[in-house]
Amino acid sequence: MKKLSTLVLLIALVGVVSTVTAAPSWKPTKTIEIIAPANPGGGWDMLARVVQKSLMDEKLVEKNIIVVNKPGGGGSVGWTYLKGKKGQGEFLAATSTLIMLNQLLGTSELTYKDFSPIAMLQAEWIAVAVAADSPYKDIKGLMEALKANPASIPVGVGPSLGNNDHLVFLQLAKAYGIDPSKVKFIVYPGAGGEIVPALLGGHIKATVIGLAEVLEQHKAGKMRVLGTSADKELDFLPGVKPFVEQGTDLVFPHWRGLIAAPGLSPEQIAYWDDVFAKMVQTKTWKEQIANLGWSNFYQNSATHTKYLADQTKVFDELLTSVGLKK
Amino acid sequence: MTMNLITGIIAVAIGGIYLVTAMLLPEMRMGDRLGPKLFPTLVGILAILSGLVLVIQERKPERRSKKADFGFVTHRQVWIKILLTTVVGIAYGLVMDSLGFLIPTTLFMLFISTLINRGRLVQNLVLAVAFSMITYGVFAVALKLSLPRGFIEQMLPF
Amino acid sequence: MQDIFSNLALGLQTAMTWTNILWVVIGGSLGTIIGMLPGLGPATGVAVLIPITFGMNPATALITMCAVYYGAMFGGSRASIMINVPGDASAIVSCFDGYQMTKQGRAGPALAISAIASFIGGMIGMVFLVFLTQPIAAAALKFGPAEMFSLLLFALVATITLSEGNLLKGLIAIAFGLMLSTIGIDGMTGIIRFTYGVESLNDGIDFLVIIIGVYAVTEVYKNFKDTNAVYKLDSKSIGKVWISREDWRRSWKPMLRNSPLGFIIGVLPGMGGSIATFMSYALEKNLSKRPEEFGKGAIEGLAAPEASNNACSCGAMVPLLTLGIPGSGTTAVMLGALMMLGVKPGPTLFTDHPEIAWGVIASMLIGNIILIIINLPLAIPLVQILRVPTRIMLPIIMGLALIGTFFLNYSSFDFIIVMIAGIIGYMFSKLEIPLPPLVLALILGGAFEQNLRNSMVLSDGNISIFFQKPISVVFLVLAAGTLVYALLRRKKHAA
Repeated sequence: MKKLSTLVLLIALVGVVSTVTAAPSWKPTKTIEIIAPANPGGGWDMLARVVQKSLMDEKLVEKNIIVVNKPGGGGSVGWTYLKGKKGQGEFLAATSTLIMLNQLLGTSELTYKDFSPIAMLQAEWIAVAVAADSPYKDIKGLMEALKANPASIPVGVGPSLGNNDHLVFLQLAKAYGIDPSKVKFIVYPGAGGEIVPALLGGHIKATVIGLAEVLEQHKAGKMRVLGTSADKELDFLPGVKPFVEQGTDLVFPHWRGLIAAPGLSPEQIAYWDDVFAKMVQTKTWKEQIANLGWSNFYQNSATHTKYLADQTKVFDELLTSVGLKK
Repeated sequence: MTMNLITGIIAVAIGGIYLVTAMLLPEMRMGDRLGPKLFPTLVGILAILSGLVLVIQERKPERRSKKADFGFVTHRQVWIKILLTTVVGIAYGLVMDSLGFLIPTTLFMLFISTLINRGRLVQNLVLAVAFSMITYGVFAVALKLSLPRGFIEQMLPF
Repeated sequence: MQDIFSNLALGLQTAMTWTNILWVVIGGSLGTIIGMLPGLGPATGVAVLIPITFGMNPATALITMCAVYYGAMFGGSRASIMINVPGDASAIVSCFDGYQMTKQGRAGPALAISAIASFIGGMIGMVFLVFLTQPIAAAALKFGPAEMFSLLLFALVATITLSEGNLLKGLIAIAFGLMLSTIGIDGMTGIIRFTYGVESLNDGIDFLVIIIGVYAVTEVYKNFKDTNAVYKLDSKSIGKVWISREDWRRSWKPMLRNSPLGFIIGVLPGMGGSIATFMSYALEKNLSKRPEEFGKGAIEGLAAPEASNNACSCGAMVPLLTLGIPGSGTTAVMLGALMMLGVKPGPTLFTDHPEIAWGVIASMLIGNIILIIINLPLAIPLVQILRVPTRIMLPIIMGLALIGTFFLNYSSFDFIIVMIAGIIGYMFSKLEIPLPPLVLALILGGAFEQNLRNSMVLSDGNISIFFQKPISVVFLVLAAGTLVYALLRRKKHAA
């Protein structure tokens, strides 16, 4: 796990350095399509729309940009559509860890190798939270109680097992020597919309969830965030230490990025590298992601491809060890 | 055969297939006591049982339901139209990704209106073209919903 | 109390600017139109607005989105009443008596009562939102998996008793609906169930696709026999777009008692307009002295679900405003749009941004008034649609149904499902198998199984969890009572 956190830091550095640019020899020749492989309103859709707005408002591309929604199969429907646009640089799609997890969990054949990874753009952090009246004050307290009596602490997770949030909790549990099959996971397909009331109503005792979904509750004093998967204490969440500072070496960004159709030429990739390196520096982009509670997390095409390769290995080991890999 | 008898038989048949499939699901539990099999098993049993009771009820003459009439023979025309619509409707969906919205929609509307409103070619053509243009204008242009884009749509300025 | 009124005054101040009123009119009209189209509901309507709201101030953005939301609720039942094609799940119940009224030449009164009931439901919902938000939000937290399971069981049982004829056929329809709901990836284990190798089924079957298939497509098929007719009736018998004193006498009580019911269901996470409308209909039918008139054009059978549905959409705002979490698909989209504008709804919204929270509540007051002003006169041109000959109307219904299908998931695979559902719907109508229980079971099936399994995880497999929680017991008793009552009534009829 040590490897992972160092890797993340390293990449963040490389991302900043590699914004050196040359004049690209390829340009889009028709309307650019950003595929959001989800319905309007979700994380992927919002990423696609924020990118669309940033690129257009800041005039970073000359062609029109439209967002195309193609939900289904945890992204694979939209990605399959993208796969059919071989060599066409005008097609981009939003991605996240699911591009690796789907294949490992056996729900889709697609992997990042079927595409041209373009960039990682933003990250959110994952939090472990309890209700305000809970006796647990930190990760250690919760995990030790869980170890002593797993049945007494139902943990809410959603929308399904095997997702990022669930994996984070499994890793924490493993670090404390808890048998993951003993943990009572209560699955909420409505994710935050059902987990937050369930935790407030005392039906579950803890949850592992995207930080944004519990941040306001934490600030209002109704819930307590015990720790986050961030690499350092977050400035908007003072007093809450990340897992790494609580003795578990676990940094886990829930990131989102963009992939393009397979078979793109180096010129096409260079064009997008140039555009996105500029975009992440713009005011529009920074404002929009701050509104959404996202952190800037840029990797260019080459770095991101390497990152995907390394992460796939990490997930493979983890999923195999908890018996979720198909 | 009466309506209830057919309904009962369908329920038993579909319930049976479903139940067998449910039994064949792998047993897998991540701290989940019921697993993925129990609920479908119960649903399958519910379908079979209700179907059986319905069939048994039909044996009593005083509770018997009306004879079922699908009109396979008496209204053969209707069934031919339904099957044609089904095939063309599915094809319409399948070609949209490659041909875009406008052409398949116009063709589909021409087909369905000709089927229903036979012999009025001009009226049907106007309806088909107007329908696809108006819906494209409203949904894709005005409301900015994403519709499939073929070569015609890519040439449009919006 | 003082506080509430000064807050409401603040809200009115926000909502009463000309810009905001203009947006309520635009949003409400847009919502009404989108709501009328098959498959397009409030969630699409609100999503359409996201790019437009980019430049707005947050209060205006939320007010506009809310206007679309309840505009869609007003519009949703128009198509149900006039052509027996529900715009979305919560408009299915409006077909039962609404379409019958149209067939009897009472389309005018039907459209009028639907607008009036929507208005009353919305107003009562708003009053609840003003005065009872905090206690109801707190009460909703008491609903854990066991309570939810029992509530869903009650809803399903109530639906069976709605269907005419044999109860067993209702039960079979429920079983079919539950079967369809289990297709796809199981969220708890990741196992793929009942897809028979078809990868496109992994996400499950969207209930809206089935609704479009078994209502819109089937409706077209039913008319294949005689395509030269004018749509069912001659234009003189549409009736005035107003209701008689008798209509009012029959429907005011149902509207009043179903609005609170709808509101409470709207507050519960994961429960929406579909369950609220079905339960209201079942309630009225069971309370009525003339249950045999239900399904044959009883005006209270239309008024009750309409009021309940609009109150439900007010209720769905409670989790959004008090907890910052989405209680429904539509509010999820709203939440996303708000976050993009830099507002983070949450427990602190009422204190940090009172002008937004109260502005929205006040805009509902204005919005409901504006919507009824738009909708009552709108009914007059709208009923003219009934004069369009069937041979023109049917292709348009078919075309809109398929485009609506496309917008649900942007998937061409759904066309296969919708066409098959059309044939199945047609066969079911020939066999007199009721479709509403099937559709409701499909909508609720996922939550039904999930809550059952979650309850069992919590109780370590002990089924007594359902009898230990008082709220759960209440619903189980209600479910049993409804079933026994329905059986007894049928026996009496048979005798």
